[in-house]
Amino acid sequence: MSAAPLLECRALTRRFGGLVALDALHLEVRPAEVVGLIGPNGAGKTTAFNVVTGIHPPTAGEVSFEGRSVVGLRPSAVLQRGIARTFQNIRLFRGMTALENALVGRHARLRTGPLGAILRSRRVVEEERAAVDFAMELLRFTGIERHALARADSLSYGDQRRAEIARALASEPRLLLLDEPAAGMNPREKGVLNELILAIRDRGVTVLLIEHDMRVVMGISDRVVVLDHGQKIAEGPPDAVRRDPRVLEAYLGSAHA
Amino acid sequence: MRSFASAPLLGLWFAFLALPFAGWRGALWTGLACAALVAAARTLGRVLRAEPVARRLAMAQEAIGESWEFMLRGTRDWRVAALVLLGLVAFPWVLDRYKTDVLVVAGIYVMLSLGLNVVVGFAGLLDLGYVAFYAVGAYSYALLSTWYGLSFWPGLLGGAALAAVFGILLGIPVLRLRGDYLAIVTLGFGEIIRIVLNNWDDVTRGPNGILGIGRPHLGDFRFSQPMHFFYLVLALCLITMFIVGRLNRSRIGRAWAAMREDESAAECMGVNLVHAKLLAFAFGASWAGLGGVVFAAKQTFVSPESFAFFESVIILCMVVLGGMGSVPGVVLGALILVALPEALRELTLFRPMILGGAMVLMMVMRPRGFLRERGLRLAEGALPPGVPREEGR
Repeated sequence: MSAAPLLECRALTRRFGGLVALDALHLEVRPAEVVGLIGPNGAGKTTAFNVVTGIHPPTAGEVSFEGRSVVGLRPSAVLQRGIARTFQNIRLFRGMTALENALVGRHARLRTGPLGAILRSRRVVEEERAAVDFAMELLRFTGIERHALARADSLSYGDQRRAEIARALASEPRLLLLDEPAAGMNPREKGVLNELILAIRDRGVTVLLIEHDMRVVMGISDRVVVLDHGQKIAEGPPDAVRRDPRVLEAYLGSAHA
Repeated sequence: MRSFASAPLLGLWFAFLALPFAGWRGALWTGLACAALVAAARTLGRVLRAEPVARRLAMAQEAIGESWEFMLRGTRDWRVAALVLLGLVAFPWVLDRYKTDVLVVAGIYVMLSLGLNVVVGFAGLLDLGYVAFYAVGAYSYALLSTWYGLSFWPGLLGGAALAAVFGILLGIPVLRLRGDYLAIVTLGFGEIIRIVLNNWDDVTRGPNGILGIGRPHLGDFRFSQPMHFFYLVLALCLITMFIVGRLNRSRIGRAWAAMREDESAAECMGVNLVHAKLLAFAFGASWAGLGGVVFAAKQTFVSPESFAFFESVIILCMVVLGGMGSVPGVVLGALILVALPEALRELTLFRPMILGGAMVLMMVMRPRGFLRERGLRLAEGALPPGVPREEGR
């Protein structure tokens, strides 16, 4: 537990007008961990993702990744640094194939410029070939290889979630942010997803995971962080968090605490 | 039958409206004419909507698109390609001067619509002022040629480069705009350029235009006949198709397509939107610049009226009609929209009406245009053979 944090948020605050979506959040994610981020609706979980990935600038506070600040970077630059994400409401490039989606995810790791694309030298073709191999390997890893050339919007719901994960992994991130990956999945698919997330961690990718499904979060997280009204109300191993009175109160109301 | 009942009612209403202006007799005729028109339009609509007719029309259109694509795909075989090229080269020897000249104009429009297709089709940025870049190319060569006697070939590069610079100038302020707002700003940009050309008398000679623009030379050979320009434009069109196609099937084309599908998701996946958008604007504009230089050199005269808003609309029609994002489709769209008015030349007054009607019909039948974009945005041969081709596109 003493390893230097991979991601560190210090006093991270984000306001939307009068609404405080994130209130002085402290969050640490250490390498090779799976951290679950939970909390009732509107607790600020997705906002935390959006601030970390550069979609919203923080109102105050600091985000550092591998010891360097990522505040003020464009989302594409944050991805370049090694943080990739998926979206709560699936946002694949619908008209493109699953393979092309993964290749777009690889964009930041490819070098070909306009001139190279036109001249298409041997180096460029090699790069494309390697990119396709890598993308295909990820589609195999996430279990949708046979749909590689199907349009993204023709995939089943669960496969679309997997395609999003493949697309995010294509940039070879060191931290993967998953926003409700199990939403809309049936129990069998959730089981497969659990395995997949653990396999992602075994590839050396740290995972920060927003999830409502307690069996998923509690089953695979090394540590769980609970948000409510933009504040961290609890943190610790799944079993301890599950019994924490403040967590029960946030979820069920004070009568149950 | 309900829809027909409204015809006499509408006739009556228009007769009533016409009464104060046209008198009893005029009102009667107006009413009858309106009723007849409405009934005729309803009947036509019903016939078109009847399944077999609609399906047959759509099928005919699809067949045109498919056979066109089949022909183009055939040119991957070098023997077919050589044969097609030979046929193209023979064109001006078979056709008369006038028809050759029409082909030159068609070629310029092919370049323009391929350029606009980069912006609208690939990158999904609706540009209603595209003709401005055409004007920039034409005027930059016109001025460089008449002031400094610059010859055509450096002028070609200069016009394309300047148009690209203007593309970036337009791109920077609209980086944050999407959809409708982007369309309005680009429309305004197109008009600004035309109005500046029309009023900056000291430089552009205003509405009088610029005369005496130099024609291209190749050594001692001087381009003067439509036939010469035909070969020039043919070469430029082939180069355009090649370059645009390759760019689309690369990392850059994938980034544009991703941006078109979902801007912020693309940014989150590592596509720098600023770079991708500016590249699309600059690259798209440079083809209009090239087309403009060729146009100026061919006409030896440019004036602002060649660069009216309607030109932007026509070029956009070529892209949409042909099939947004599809290179062969857009080429077909441009050829059809240049050829159709020529084919209808005999009908003089009815021409715009028939043209407009044909466009409406084609878009109703096949909103995606003649050809859908298809194929992976990937260098040919980069796909390993073992990939299962399920579902396809």
